[in-house]
Amino acid sequence: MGDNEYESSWRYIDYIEKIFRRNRELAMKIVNKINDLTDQIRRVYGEDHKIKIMNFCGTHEWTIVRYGIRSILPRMIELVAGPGCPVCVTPSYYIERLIEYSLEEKIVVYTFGDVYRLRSVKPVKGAYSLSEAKALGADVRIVEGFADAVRDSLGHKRESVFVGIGFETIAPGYARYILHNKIPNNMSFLSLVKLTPPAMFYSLEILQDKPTEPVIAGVIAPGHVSTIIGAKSWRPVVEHFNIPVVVSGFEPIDVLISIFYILKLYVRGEARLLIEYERAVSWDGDLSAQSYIYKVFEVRDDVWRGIGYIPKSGLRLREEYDKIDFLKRHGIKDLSPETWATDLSPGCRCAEIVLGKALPRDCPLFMRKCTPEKPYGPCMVSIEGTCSIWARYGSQEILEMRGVS
Amino acid sequence: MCWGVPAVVKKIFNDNLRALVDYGDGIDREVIIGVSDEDIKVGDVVIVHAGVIISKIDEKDLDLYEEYIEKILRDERENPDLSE
Repeated sequence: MGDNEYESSWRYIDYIEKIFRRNRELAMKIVNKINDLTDQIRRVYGEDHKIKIMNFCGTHEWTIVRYGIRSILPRMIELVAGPGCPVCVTPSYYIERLIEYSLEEKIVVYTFGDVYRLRSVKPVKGAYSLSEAKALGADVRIVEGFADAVRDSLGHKRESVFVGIGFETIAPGYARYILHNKIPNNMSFLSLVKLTPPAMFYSLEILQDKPTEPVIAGVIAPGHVSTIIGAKSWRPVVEHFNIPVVVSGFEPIDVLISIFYILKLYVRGEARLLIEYERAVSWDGDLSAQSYIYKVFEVRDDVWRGIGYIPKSGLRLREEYDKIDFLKRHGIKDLSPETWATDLSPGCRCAEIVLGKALPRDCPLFMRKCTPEKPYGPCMVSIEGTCSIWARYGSQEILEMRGVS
Repeated sequence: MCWGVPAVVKKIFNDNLRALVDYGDGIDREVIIGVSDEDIKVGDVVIVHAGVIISKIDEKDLDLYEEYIEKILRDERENPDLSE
C-alpha cells in the first residue's frame, strides 16, 4: 500500500490528539493550576469576583462546549463567545440577491453547506434561503471548496457564481485562484470575506462600556486566523484594552492552557500577547498569503448582520477584477450605510449573541422556534454558530428542552 | 464552513496551486494551497479550512510536547512573550 509512505504523518496527527485531546490526566493538572489561580484572585478581589474570558472563533466555542470545559472550570470564570462565525454575520441582503439571481436569471450558485440553509429576512420569489430556492427549481450546488466549484463550472456553459464567504484563513486561497486566472468565463465571485481584528475591537469596546458586567480578564484569539495574519495582529488589542491575549489552538488542552495563561497574567496585572498554538502560528503569519490577499482584495467598511457597519472589516475585489465581481457583473448595488437596515428576523437575538452580550438560552426562540434541524436565526445554521453548538453539544438543560434527557 | 481539519498532503499539482490531501478517511480531495507553496511538500501535515491549506504543522520532536507542557505548568518555561 502506498499509504505506508505517510505512516509517520498519521502517527504525528494521532500523537497530537493523544497529547492535546485524549489526555484526562493532563487536563486535571491544568484545571488544578487554574483553581490555584482563581483562589489567589478570590483572596485579592473577594468571594464574589467574576471574570470573563472571551473567544473569537466558532471552533474554540465548539471545543469549549463539546468537551464540557465550562463545567470543569471554577464558577468565577465566565467563558463568552464573540463574533467567530462568518455565516452568522453575513447580511441577509446578499442571500436575497443570490436567491433572486438563481431563480430569475437561472444562475448556478455554488456555496458551502451552511450558507445553503442561511435564512434571509424577506422572502424572494417565495424562498427564504438558497435551499428553498433549490426546491423551487434553482440550480444551487453545495461544494467543499472553491476548487470544486471551479472544476464543476468548467463542465457546463451556464452562468454561475461562487459565494466567497469566510475570514482571513480562506481569503488567500480565493486570492491565489483569482491571481492565477483560474476562474472560468462563466463564473463570478461574490466576496463576503470578513476580517476578525476589527470585530474583536468592536465587541470589546461594547462590553467595556457596561461597567456592571464582570471584567474581561483576557481574550482567546483565533489560532487559524493567526496562522495567516500573524500573532502580531492582536498587539493593538493588548495595548488598547490593556488585557492579555493568547493565540490558542483548538484541542481541549490548548484551550485550558490558554485560560491558564490568561489567569496567570491577570493575577500579575500584566497585559501581554502570547502564542499557545506554537505548532502552527508565528509572530508575522504567512507573508505570502497576506500579499495574495492584498493583491486581489481591498479593505472596506462592511456590514455584520444584525450589528451594522464595522469600519475596515470586510474585503471586496479590487477594481481590476470587476469582470468576475458578481455584484458589478450583474449591475447589483452593494449595501451602503444608507441602504442597510437591521436584518434579523423578528425575535432573533443573534446579534447580541455574536457580540457576547447574550447567551443562546437568553433567546426566547432558542430550541423552540429555532433548532439545528430548522434554523430560524443565522447563529443556528453553521456548526460554528454559537446557538448551533449549544444546541448540539450543550448542557443537560438543552438536552431536556429537546426531550433527550 | 470555517472548520480547521488536519490532513496529510499526498500530491502537489504542477501549477503549485493545488494539492491532493487526505483527512484520514482515505479519500483524496483537491484543495487550494493558500500559503507559500515552497513550504508545502508531500507527506506534510497541514490544516485545511474549507478547501484551502492555511498552515503547515511544525512537526516537533514528538517527545518534546509533554515535557514542554509540564514545564509550562511548573512555571519553568514562559511562552515566548511577544508584547515587548
